[in-house]
Amino acid sequence: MKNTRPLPVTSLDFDDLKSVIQEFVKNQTDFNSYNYLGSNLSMLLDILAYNSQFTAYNINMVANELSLETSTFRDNVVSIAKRLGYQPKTYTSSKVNVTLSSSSVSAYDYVKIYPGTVLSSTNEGKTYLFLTNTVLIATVNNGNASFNNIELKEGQFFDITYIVDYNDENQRFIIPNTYVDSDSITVTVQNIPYTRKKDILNINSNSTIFFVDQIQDQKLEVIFGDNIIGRKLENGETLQIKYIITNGSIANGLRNFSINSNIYGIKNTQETILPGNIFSLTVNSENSYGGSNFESISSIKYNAPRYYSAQNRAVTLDDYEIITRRIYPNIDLIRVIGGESLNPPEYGKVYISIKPTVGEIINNFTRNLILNELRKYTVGSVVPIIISPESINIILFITALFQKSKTTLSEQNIIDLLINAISLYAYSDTIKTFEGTYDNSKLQSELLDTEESISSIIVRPLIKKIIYPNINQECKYSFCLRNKLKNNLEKITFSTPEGFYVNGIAEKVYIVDDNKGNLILKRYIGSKLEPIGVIGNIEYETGCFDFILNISSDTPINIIANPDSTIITAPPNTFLDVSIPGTDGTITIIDRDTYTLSPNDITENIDVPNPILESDSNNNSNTNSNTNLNLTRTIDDLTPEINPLQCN
Amino acid sequence: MALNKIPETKLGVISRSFKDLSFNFTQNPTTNDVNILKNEEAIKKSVKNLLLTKYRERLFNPYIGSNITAYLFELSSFIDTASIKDETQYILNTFEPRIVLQNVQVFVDEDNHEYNVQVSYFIIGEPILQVADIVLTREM
Repeated sequence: MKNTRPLPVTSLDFDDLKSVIQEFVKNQTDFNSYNYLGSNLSMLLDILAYNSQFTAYNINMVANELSLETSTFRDNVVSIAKRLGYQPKTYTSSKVNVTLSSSSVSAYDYVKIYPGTVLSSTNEGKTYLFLTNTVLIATVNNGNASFNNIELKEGQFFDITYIVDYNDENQRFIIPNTYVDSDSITVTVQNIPYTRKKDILNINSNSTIFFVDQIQDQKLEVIFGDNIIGRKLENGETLQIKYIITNGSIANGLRNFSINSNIYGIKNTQETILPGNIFSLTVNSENSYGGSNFESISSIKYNAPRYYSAQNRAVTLDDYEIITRRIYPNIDLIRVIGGESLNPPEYGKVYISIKPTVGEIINNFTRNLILNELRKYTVGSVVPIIISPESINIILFITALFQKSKTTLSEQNIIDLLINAISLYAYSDTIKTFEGTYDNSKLQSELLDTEESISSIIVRPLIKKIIYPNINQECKYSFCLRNKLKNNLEKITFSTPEGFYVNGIAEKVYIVDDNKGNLILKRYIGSKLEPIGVIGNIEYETGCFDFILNISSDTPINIIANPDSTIITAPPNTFLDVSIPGTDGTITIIDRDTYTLSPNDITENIDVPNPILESDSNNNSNTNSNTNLNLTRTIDDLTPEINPLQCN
Repeated sequence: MALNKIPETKLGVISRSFKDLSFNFTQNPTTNDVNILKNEEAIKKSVKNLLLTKYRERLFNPYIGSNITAYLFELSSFIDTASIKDETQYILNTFEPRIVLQNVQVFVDEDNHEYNVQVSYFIIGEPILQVADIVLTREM
């Protein structure tokens, strides 16, 4: 009897599919050589099974691409996100806010900057151009002219012209370049400027507006109205699209700029090009900022549904997070805290902590820019406040025991492998988040898996906290590491090994603890470290410390502390930063074939480094010091005042 | 040369009938259906298929087949002849359970760059010695 039931072809596995087809043939009476590998029928079954597998695989992949969670191609992710009303972020130009002024332009009525390059900056051999897209004019008063607070964008101008042709049903106004800053796009139709809109509010049938849509291959398309939502273009009209092609986030953080000669002096309508060197340049924004690259697939998947739920208004904490990310794409970590959850509560405030992708804190200029944009979305009297996050560095001292006879890799190869593994761990989700957790045993096991010849790994972490001093100001510096510290009576737990300078003392000074909860300021007299005075306290149980000093060094102060546990957690509003050995920390490779281990090689304890004694020639960098005063000061002189200024 | 003995475990086994599809896909004038290969013909075709299949040719089954055709592009030597014989014996003993291999003879036709492989075997359950001649040429 013939079996006419349909085949249950549900598997994606070749062998499963083949056995299903074999089972079907087995129930037929026509052929019976299906399970002999040399038979014609067996070969035919192979092809049928392969074909079924191929089709099933394709259908599976296509089905995956239809859902935001499972799609893998960026074009598909973008397409699905657009259905949720979310426009993935394109490249964004880095910006810089500057003031250009000159006192050598008395011969002119006013000075003018035409659209084009104004500044340039070179970094690592590459030149970045900063330009304006509008005409800037400054009148000359008493021989002085000044362009105040002008915002320049990094990149280069490009444009493309289309003629509207309705005979071509498939005509689209596509910008043919990638790396286009979508915010820089300007459109003129028959020389009439059009306005870019991101929603359909306040638009009528005559509005001269356009939309920008992201399409395949990370390109942008300009879309016009249909005489219902915005004016429809007429056949034969000429439209010009101007835009900036940018380098994105790589142009962030530039500080040194030179003026390109694109400035003209105007006298009685006569224009004279002016040399750039008669203008002085002030960078108001400290450095270039705000540039970003294409939004990653994972970011689109994270942001699109949340943006949809935010519905263009900031009500919940998630709304604040997602809208802030949209305003300022250059965010690495963000955390939003409602003021009502603080102790004591601060109703009506929302605290937003932002760590940018470049650097650790955002500058005041960017902070104001974000707040101004964010206020458009806030509800009622809620006040958003941007705060700077704190960071704790973890320095690793690694000893790897390996057997050279078991590998063809050199010591340097193994170090490279370990550094790669540490980098992966340092950027993992458990670390790269606010209140992240560093787990020493997890890192050890991951390092152990990097190479078979490594028989043992010992990782010893220390905590580093960087303090940015307020120079020449007596300040109280306090911070809670929120991790228990070792309190070994024989060794120091807390130290500033590189030292720094304070007002009133010529030599470099160092802070070390005394294992009794006191922080002592010390200095080297000859080669001996002598105490100067108690400057603060430390609680070993909580890792909280504070000290009061009038610091004159203009460099960050590195505080090293020894954690009691190998699991280190970041306090609230703080993220962990695992240092890659090389800059901080060390990796030691020991070949067990040739080296006899000493107890020091395999101890899991690590000591906080002692203050480093520098040569006398380096001791005179403190211009505020007074050697005579130094000789007469006592511990009492450095005892903190009551209620000093809280600086950090 | 003495014939191999049929293993005792396979003595007394009655041969089944084997029906396989013919890749000529010609029409049977009586049944109007596609022609089929039966019994000895089906097994002979299977033997040929196995010898002419190259490694990695079968989908998801890369170990079925032989490297026999590669010898056609070597300088002819007794080593090649021995290798072809070994490979033939290995592949048939491994992948064709319906036969008991008796003998493999390889004849070289150097002028035409050909090998003639003559395979003698018993179909299990049948007392008649079957012989399959397979000509290996570069045009395969």
